Amino acid sequence: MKFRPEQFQRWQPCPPDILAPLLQYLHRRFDLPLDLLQQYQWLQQNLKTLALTHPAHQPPQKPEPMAIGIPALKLGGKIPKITSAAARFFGTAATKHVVELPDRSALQSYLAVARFPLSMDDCIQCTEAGVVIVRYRGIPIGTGFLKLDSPDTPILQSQFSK
Amino acid sequence: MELATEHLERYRAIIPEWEAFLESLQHPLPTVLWTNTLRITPEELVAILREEGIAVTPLPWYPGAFRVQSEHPSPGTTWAYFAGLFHIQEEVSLLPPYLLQPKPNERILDLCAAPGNKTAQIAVMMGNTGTVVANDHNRHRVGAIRAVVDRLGLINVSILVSDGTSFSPRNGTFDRVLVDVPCSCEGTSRKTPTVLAQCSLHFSQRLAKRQLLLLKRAVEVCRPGGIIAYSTCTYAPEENEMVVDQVLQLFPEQLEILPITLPNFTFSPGLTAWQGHELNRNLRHTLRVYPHQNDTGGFYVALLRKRQ
Repeated sequence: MKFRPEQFQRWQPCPPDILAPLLQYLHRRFDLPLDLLQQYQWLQQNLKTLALTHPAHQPPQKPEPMAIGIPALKLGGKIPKITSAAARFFGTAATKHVVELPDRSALQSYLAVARFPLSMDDCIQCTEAGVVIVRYRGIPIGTGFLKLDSPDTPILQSQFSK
Repeated sequence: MELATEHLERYRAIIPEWEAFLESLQHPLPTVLWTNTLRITPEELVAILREEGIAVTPLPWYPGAFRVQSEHPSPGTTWAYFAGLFHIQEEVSLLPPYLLQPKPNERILDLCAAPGNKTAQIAVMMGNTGTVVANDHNRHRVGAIRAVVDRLGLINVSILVSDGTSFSPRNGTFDRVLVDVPCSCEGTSRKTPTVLAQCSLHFSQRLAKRQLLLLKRAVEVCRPGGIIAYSTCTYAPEENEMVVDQVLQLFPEQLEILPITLPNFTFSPGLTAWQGHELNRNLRHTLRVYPHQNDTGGFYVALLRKRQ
């Protein structure tokens, strides 16, 4: 999904009818509390991206800002994708579709943007394949794509981004 | 590498402990980092760094900031850095935001923001609330601000590309303005030894014209009662006290210099005369930092209040 050009207004708040299902998705996918997500201002950054900012933020008008807050949600694909910045921002509150890297070896693989096996014990409430929030020692560091082809050996494709 | 220190000779009369100053320039700068308190406490960060083999000691004057004792591994290559738990910044460049004292929910302008270290510091000091406008005229350097903002998770920052000398008044007024101007960077020679080769009196005088325009615009967009911090990383009085002196003459009724107090940090007072020029006497309340005083780079900060 993405904005239709006629809907799009750069750096304006995302219209409620578009935003509500997106926040519902984040709530369903990661069990992020809706009231937490609704505390913030979600702005239209471009046709495919929503940015996250503080509700009291007063951005400058002239010239148009190059960036406001952090890029938070990518809308270009079939389903929205949480960005690395947003995963780090919200990741401690997530209780579903979270991967806890078990050791330094897994951490090194993740930082090397590798694809590597995990055990189901490392996967918190990962009931479906797809994007997961990746944490180490309980601290969110980014996202990954989890494959569940083999129920005993889930595979994580790192999407680590500096 | 042998430093081209001949240019610095003209400061011999104003820099205390001249030999110690010259000697300090021969040593590389210690690495300093500060805690992203939006994500972690300083105590938790110290424990994580220790596990990564990085020993740190707290800075005596800045809560949550640390000097790195061991450089291997480099803190900037650790997972904790990528997770946005801390930021690496030269100790002396922590001064302007610290002295500016931004408060939650205020509106702050960082007029010459790239690469965004001080912007980030301000945003975190504000608890990720309110508005920080990070402006820079160099489009290519703005990417560095974005990277810092994304990694640290700063949702109270807007990034703008515009010439700070003509920063639009349509953007409203600001409670506090940081003007960390482009300068001759003499104070960074411990980090970049080649920097002194480009320095000259003529170079400083040329930069001072733009610095004055930037500071003047900062005064114009600061709200009455607001605070302006002017800073450089150079020793040159032409870029420091003489710029502030000129802006005081331009706004004689509107501006006052605020005295700077900074416990546990050694510094020298600003100059009130230089090479035959008598300057505003209150410039003694501004702050000069020389590398040998705290094992840092060189720096200058003036704090100004715009009267109601």
